[in-house]
Amino acid sequence: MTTTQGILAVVDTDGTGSLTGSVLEMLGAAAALRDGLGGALMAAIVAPDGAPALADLASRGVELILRIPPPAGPYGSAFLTDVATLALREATPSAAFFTGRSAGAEAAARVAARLGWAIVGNCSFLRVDDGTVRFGRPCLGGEALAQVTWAADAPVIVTVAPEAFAPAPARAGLSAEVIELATPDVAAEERVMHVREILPPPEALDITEAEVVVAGGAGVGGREGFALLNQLAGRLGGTLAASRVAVDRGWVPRQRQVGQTGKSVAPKVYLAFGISGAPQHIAGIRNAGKVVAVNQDPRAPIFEVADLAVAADLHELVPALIERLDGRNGAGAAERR
Amino acid sequence: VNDVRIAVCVKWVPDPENPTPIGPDSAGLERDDLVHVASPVDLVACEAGMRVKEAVGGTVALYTAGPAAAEAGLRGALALGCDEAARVAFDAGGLNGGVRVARLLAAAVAAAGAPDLVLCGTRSPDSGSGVVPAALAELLGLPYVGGVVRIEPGNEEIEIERRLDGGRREVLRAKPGLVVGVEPSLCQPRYPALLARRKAERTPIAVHTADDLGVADAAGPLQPAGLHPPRPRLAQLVAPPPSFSARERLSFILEGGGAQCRTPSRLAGSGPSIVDELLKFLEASGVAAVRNGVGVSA
Repeated sequence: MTTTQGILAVVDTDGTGSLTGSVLEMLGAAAALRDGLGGALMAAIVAPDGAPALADLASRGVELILRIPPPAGPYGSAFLTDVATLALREATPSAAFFTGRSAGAEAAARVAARLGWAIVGNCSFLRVDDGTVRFGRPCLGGEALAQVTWAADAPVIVTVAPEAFAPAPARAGLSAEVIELATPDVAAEERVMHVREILPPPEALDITEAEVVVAGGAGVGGREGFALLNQLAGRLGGTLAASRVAVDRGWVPRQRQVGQTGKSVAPKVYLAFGISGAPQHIAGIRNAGKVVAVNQDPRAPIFEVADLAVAADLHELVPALIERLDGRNGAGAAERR
Repeated sequence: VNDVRIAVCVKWVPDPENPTPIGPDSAGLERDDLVHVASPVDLVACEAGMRVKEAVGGTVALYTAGPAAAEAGLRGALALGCDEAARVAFDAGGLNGGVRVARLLAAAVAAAGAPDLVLCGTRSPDSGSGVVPAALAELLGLPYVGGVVRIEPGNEEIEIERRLDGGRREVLRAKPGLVVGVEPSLCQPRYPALLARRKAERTPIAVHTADDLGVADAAGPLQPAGLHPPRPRLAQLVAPPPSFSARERLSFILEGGGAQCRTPSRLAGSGPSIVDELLKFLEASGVAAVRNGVGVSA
C-alpha cells in the first residue's frame, strides 16, 4: 500500500514566534517527501490566532495547519511532546517531521516511543522511487551514509539534520486551512527545575564544544597576544584555541591544540589569527562551519580554506575588534573574570 | 538519598578512532571488518556515575543491547568500578532501531527496580541520532536532560549543567528519577587498575532476551539498506586554483586541501572598515550574540 494521508511537520518556533532556519529546512524535507508520495502537507504549531507564522507556513506550501493556542504559563519539552502526540493522533499522517534541534529531537524520540512509531533520527538524505522512500543519515562520524527504505505502509517519524536540506521557498498567492486544537494541560515539571542560565568564561569551554573558536598561531607572538585573543573569545561567546607551534612554545595549554596531533573542532565559526595553515592544522578544522583567517602573509595557505581572508596585522585588528564590541554593548563593559 | 541506584547504558560501536575500511568495489562499506569498542562517551557516563556513587553511595549497574561480543565493552566499563552488568540480546542488522533499543534497555533497567539516575551518552559516535536517551526516558516515565557537561550530586537533589546554543549553559536542579545524556567533555574516564580489570573479567554478566523481558520486539516498517559513501558536498569538488604552480597543485591534492577549498572574500589593509566587515561577516554567520564577555545571558 502506498497511499498516504499526508505529511505532518511539527513546528517548534523555539520561542521566537517565527519560522527559524531549521524549521524551514524541515519544511523543505517534508515537502520533498510529499512531492514524491502525494497527499497533503500539514503543519502543527503552537501559536496565537493570526500569528504571522501561520501565513508564513501557508506561503511555504503548507495546506492544512493544526494550530494549538499557547498555554498561559511557560512550557517545556514535555508540553511539546504532548502537542506533537495530539497533532499526530488528529492528523494521522504517514510521516511526521521534526527539527533536529534539542527540543524537537527529544519530542520526536518521546512521541515515537509513546506511539510505537518507527523513527529516522538525524535524517540528511531523502529520495523517493516508485513509492519506496530511501532515508539516509550520517554515521561512522560522517564517513558513511546509513540508508533505510520505507514502503510507506506504517507511519514513521523523521528528525531532520541541520543544513542537509534546502529551506522551503516562500511563494505568493498560497493559502492554508487552519484547524484549532485544544491546548493540552501543561504538566508541572517539578522533578527538574531551571536554576539559572550562565555564559561560561572561555577557559571553561572545551574547544570541541564551543560554537565560536578563536585560534592563534606563531604570528600571535606570545602570551600577551593570546590574552587579547582570549578576551575576544569571551566577547564572542566562544573559546580560545591554538596551533601546534603556539602550544609547543608554551603560550597555550595542550588541551587547546587544534589539528592532527590535537583535537578536531566543529564550531560555527573558526577564527584563525596568525596561523599559516599547515595541512596538519587544516585537518583539525575540516568540520568548521565558516573559517575567518587573519594573516599578514597574503600567500598563507590558510587563506585557501578561509571563507573570509583578511590580510592584515592581527596586533592592530584584535584590539580594534575588542574595542568595537565593547562600544556596541554600551560603555564600561566589565572584564570577564 | 542513600544508596542511589544508578544505571548506565553502554553502546557497542565501531571504534571512532579506527579508519573505516572501504569495500573492494568502494560501493559499500564493509561492516564485518570494523573494530568495535564501548562508545567513549558512554564510558564518560560510567565515570560520571562512579563519581556520583563515590560522593553519595549507591550502586552502578551497566546495560547494553547488542550481540555477545558487546560483553567485552561491558567488562571494560565494569573495570572502572561499576557493580553489575546486563546485556539484552539484540541484533539490528544495521543502524536501525533507536526505539527498539530503548524499549529493550528500559525493560532491563525497570526489571531491577526504579532507578534514581540513568546515564548515557547524549549521542553515539557511530549513528549519533540521539534517539535512545529521550525514548528511554519516555518509556521509564522520567524527565530527560541531554547535553550535560557537569553533574554535582547533593543530599536530596543533584545539580546539572547542560549546553545551550550560542555558548551558553543552563544550570538545573533535579530530584532523583531522571535520565541524563552526557557530553564527551564532562570528565575523563579513569584508567582502570590491573586488579580492577581482572575482577571485571570474573564478574558475571546477566543476559536477557526480548522474550524474557516481555518486550514485543518487532522489526517495524524500516528496512536497512546498507552503508553508502556520503554524498560529497558540491563545495568539496573544487580543483586546485589555476594560479598555483604544478608543485603547489600536487601538494594541494595530496594534502586533501580540495576538501576544504572555498572561494574566500578577501579583505586587506587596516583601519575601521576591516573591523566593520569582519563583524558583519560574524553576524551573518550566526554568531548569535556578539556581546561583551560578562557572564550574563544575552
